[in-house]
Amino acid sequence: MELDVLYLADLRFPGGTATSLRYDLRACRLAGLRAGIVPLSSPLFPRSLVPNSALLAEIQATGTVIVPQNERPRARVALLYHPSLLDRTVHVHAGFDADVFYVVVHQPTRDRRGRSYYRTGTWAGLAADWFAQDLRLLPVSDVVRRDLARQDLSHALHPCNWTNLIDPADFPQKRTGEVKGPVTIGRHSRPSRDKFPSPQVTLACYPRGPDFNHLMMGVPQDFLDEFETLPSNWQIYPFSSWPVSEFLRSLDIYSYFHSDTWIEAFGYNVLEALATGLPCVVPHYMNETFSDACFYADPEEAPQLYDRLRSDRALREEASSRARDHVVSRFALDQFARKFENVAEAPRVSSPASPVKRETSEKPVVLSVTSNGIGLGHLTRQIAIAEALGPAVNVVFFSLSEAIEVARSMGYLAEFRPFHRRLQLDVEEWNGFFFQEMREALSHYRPALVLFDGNMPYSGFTDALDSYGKSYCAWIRRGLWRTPQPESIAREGAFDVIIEPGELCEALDLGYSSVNPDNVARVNPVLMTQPHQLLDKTAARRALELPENATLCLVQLGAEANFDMSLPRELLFDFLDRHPEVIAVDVRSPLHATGHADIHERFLLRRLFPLGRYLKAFDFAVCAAGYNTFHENIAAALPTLFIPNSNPETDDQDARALHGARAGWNLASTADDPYEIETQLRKLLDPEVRQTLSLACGRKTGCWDGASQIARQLRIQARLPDSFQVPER
Amino acid sequence: MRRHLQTIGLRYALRGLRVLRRADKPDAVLLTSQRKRGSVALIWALDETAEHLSAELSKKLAHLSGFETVVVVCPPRLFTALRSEGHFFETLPAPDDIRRSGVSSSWELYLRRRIARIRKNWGPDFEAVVGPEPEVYYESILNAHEDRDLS
Repeated sequence: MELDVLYLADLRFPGGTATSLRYDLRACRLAGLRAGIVPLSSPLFPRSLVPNSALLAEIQATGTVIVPQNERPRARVALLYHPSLLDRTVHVHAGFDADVFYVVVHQPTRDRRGRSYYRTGTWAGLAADWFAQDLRLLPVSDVVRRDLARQDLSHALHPCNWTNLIDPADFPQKRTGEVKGPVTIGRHSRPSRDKFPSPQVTLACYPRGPDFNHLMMGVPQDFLDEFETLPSNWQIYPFSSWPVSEFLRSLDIYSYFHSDTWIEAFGYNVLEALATGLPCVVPHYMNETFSDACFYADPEEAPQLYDRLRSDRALREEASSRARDHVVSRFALDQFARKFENVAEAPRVSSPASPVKRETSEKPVVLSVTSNGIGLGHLTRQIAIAEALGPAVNVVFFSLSEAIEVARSMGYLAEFRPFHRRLQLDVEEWNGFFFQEMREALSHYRPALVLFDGNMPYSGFTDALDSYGKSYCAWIRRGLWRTPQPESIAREGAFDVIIEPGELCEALDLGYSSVNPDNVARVNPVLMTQPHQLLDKTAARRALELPENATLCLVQLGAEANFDMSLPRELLFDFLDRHPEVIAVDVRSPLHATGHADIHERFLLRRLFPLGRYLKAFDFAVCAAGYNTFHENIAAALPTLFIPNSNPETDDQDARALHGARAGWNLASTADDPYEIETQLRKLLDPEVRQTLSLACGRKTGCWDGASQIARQLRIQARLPDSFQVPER
Repeated sequence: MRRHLQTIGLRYALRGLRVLRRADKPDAVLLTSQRKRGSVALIWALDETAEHLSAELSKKLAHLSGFETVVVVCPPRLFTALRSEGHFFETLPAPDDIRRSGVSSSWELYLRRRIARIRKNWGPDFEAVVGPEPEVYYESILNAHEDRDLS
């Protein structure tokens, strides 16, 4: 793989580092250069912190290559894109070759009081040992350059900076108008305490009073807690709660002051404000980065500047033009080619120290581990994700589900291990067994990605992952937990990414699975069958050998292994007796049925998995409200009476059925209420009711691609091949 | 080492083995202490091709009805039928599935170790085979050290 620029970068930075990478990728593409990324994990963040979504979107939009795990790329320039990645915990497994390698330094090495952020003394050794490169440093600004020089790193400094860029098109210039009433002054930053001065200084630079409104996006709670009462002219917004350009366009003046310990390496937030054409009031030392584009002041002097700017429209207009022009001339995307050529070097002659190029045509293995479960939920979601990952990887199922045949019959290599519950084994003892089996499988399959679907990662499983230590690990975990599960949450640390498949009834989720919301990525509902893949009614009935003209009722009341559905079944039989025009079809998974014989001439049995494609065969359905059935039936606009399995061990099916009923997508009844079940069944006989339900379901569109979203995310984060089609340049 | 069950003498043999093996299966991690005290039969039925239990496997299961624990190593499509009869089951990837998967690894080592672990984890008093022995079933893989596709 040949690249112009290889970014060895962490995709999880929340602020300026990620934004600058975004625009580097865009600029690189505009310059006709090919960029690639090796995602790394900085020790600055928790292991499963969700990646920066804007950066992921930019990677897709620019067709930036994610270097697969087993590829050793060659690049003209390789950039380790933050000094925190020069750490003993960070390793590029397959390595890379580059004509020149730099560490882009996005942060001074010490704060203003001299406290070190990094052990710079180890940098040269780590660059040599971990990356087989000499230490060469590219500061993002002169502020960082001077700091590095003070740390005795002048010898490693390149004469040029790796200046952050921005696309001015993303920040339309705000037209300067009259200020009527109080002037709106704003600031934005990630919500870190360092990004704010002391309360006293903050009140000096963002003062109370009727002349000013202060809008602040990204304010840490511990800072706010330092005030007994917040000034009434402050409006606080959570970090990233507005698109930055919109937030900036709501302001008249931008003002950014921070803690006296902090040194802003560059000030990407200020660059965004300047691009918007806002007059910017910032500390004096930032003059080094933004020269005459800003107004420089001490915090207590800032209000005088606000007054001047408020009363002098011409000054604001002049400042706005100056700010915008400065950005366009010095920081726009067209600067990239020059920036690149400044640091690129002549191709390096093959070095004897370079490791042998690792080439393999073998597809990486994704080991899909599913827990037992009562039904097929975990396995179904994993199959949907496996299908979405496509043929670029080899998915192997390693499951505790006795229905593993469904994966095997779809062409996957499938392994099974017995679960403790059926063996009536002590869980601890079984975990010892499972550790052995899992550890052996990990060594054998050497998976690039281990994908786990289940609510509780068994200790035998997580211990095996830890012991093997070479696989990227993802936990797919549906929400809607009935109760807090602290033991389960405590195992989040075993995973690099945690993804929660979407729930249509998200609003009723009590949030027990979201104790650490920053660690959990959310996607749309995961379906095995997309609505456009459904067979039409006639084809589906023929395929299932069902009568073409009867009124057909799909029955899926679950495995009934942990919940008694005998009353709904009984009532359904009564209903069938009274309505001879209706034929019920009980569709069971291979896990739960052995024979093919119909139970009665009007109560047919079909053994089938997956059912999704055939849902149009039915006029209505009576089903439990498990994740897959609920979402598939609604996606297929199949009028359904949901009777939730209320076993406390399951997800909150009651909430699902209730939410759907309130939204008009389905009917609902509890399993213990014969009168309600009877009433709802009668309703389903009415074609108008069915049509109303169908139409309501049909309005839920464009939200069924959770499996594809997961696949896209995993391709990037786990470095799986064929990430994206690279758009034509 | 493996004793193939014959249709005669089962109860006699079983009685003898029960005495010999009683509570003496420290490595049989998949057995509860109660099951460790009983007799265990392990049936290798790797080449079962039908959707349902074959006549031969059904017959073997009937013969082994005196065992407290019966474990069948078979294709996973038979799990449901075996579960409904109260048996336990394990599976191994079929040679065709292995070939089709394109997963290239040390299958020989993996399968040998897996077969050995199944024996160790269940601690069977008897082993029976319906169809080929596991080593024969995987012969092409287990003897194919130089086979680039599978080794």
